[in-house]
Amino acid sequence: MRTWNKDRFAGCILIGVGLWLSWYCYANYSLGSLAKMGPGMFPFGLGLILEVLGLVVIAQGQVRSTTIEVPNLRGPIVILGAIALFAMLVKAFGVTSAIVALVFVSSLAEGRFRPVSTLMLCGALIAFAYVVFGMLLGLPITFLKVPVS
Amino acid sequence: MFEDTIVLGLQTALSAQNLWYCIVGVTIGMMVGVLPGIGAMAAIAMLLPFTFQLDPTAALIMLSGIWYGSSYGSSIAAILLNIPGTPSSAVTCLDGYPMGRDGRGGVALFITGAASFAGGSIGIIVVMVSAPTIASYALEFRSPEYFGLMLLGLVAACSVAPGSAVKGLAAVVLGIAVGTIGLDVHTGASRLTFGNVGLLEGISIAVVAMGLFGVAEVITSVNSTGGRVIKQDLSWKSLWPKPKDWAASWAPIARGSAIGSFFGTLPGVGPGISAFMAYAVEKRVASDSSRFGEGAIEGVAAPEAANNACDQTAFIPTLALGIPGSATMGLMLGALMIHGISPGPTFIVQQPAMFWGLIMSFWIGNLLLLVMNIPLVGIWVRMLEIPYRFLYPTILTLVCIGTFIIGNSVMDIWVLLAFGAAGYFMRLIEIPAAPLLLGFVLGPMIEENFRRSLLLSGGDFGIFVSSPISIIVMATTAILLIWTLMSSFGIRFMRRVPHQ
Repeated sequence: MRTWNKDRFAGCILIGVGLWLSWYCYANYSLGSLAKMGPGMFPFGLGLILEVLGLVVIAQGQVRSTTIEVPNLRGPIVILGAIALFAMLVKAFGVTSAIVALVFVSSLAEGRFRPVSTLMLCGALIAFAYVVFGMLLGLPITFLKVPVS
Repeated sequence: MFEDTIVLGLQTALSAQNLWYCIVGVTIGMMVGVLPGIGAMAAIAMLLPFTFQLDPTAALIMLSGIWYGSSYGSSIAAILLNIPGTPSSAVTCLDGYPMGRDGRGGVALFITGAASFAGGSIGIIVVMVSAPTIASYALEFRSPEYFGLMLLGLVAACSVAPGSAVKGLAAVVLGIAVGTIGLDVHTGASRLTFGNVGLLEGISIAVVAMGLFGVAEVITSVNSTGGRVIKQDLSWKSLWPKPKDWAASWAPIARGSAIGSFFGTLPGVGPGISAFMAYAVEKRVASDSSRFGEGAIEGVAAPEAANNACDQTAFIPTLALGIPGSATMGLMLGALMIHGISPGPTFIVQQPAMFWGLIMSFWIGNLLLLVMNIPLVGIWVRMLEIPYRFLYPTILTLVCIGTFIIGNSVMDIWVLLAFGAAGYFMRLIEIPAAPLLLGFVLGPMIEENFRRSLLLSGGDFGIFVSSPISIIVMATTAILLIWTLMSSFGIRFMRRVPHQ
């Protein structure tokens, strides 16, 4: 399997972001002059600095070598997926269902699925959110909602 | 004059509301300090959205309590678990854990509590004396000086921090770029919003911090296995240090407090580095340095005094100049700005009740922590046994709800998701997240001062070196930058020398 030099990889990413940023600002916003800067000048300059720093990081990668080990992607995908589900559910169905989805899906991140303890945790968190956020802090949160179609 | 301000501060800090939020803050700080896998940074970010409706003084008192409270708690995990609760207590493991193993954990816990309190107290005194003085000098600063100081702060924060300094600088620039998202105050043009109305007001600092620290931290540590807590006799008799323990500890505590107070004021030097320095000094001055690592009480006392002193003095540049030295202080500044209070040298003069109230709440908080720490140690130890599989869904729930209530907008949750993913990816390629947050907080101010300076000078960069202060600041920045660049390539140079 191919391994990547961590610094060189990071440097390329930085250069990529920098190039995109300076190009995007150049193409979409007026740069103005140094004395009277337009909205694009400052981020355009940031993009240029990023490109330079990216080059330095790559150069650093020539000096020392650290390689990226390919991580186990189960954790990140499950956790980010759980947050995405929360985002999709919270407006339409209220916080309660969003918490249930978030807790159950995110608990899949660790190897074993324990339905009973996850359900208990779910209940505790919903009760906590209801008492603290809803009753004590009086935050405008809808806990349960039936979507009107 | 000085008495008046102290009375004013005490009145503010002792009001029922502020006292309550101080208690809440230090208790949460203690909890997250004890628990490995969640740091003060993530906790402050998580609670930030819930402080939006609060009175700003109460909000600041609570968030600060989390910050310095976590240093008290983190030594408990270090001593009993050999895993620091937060990075600031990493050094405490070296001698604290051996002490715990030898059945002297109670004494170690007691001494860390006492050292933390002593360090914190000395730190607060330093803040009280120096912050107003520094602020009164800084009143004369104009845009070019401010731009220079912020630049110096950011460069210094990267060059001192562990890891690649160049990557730190890149993270700062990325952060500044993220900070430009939204309306441009000078021209009213919308920048980098991609036609999205939700982004016009810019991204909330709470969302950036929760994504980069809360979500990314959960993703990284989701499969980590906890250590085993060593069983310890925690009766009063075992906790109370013997006279020889006291005799061995007071001088290290004093030295540690001095070291921590000094380094806390510098940008980039967090409590972790201060604690490490204090440990190194103790090892140097000890008559028998071989005891270190085997359970030397000096090796516990000095670092704990240092990191707590540092926690307090870190507020000096933040409150006196409006320039935070660390990402956590950046969050504090963000909390102030959300309430419409502009930080800077005028802060202390314009908001005396808030400033002195906050300082006096530090005293109250440190006292509370001292009282909570030792008698309740049994409870904190029990908390260490909570498995992570219960913790991380809780963290995620708080983060998601917190994000959602900021603007009642789903868009914010998607932004949170993006920053969580970015934060995780950045950890993989070792680009530090803390400088990004610092850049994000300072970015709008840097841009503002940069543009205003060049507007004044008609585009002439000479304005940045037009006064003695700015010449010194710019020269220091340049030297630091060159030194940073050289040292990041120095690895090969250093390795080659021994061969010749």
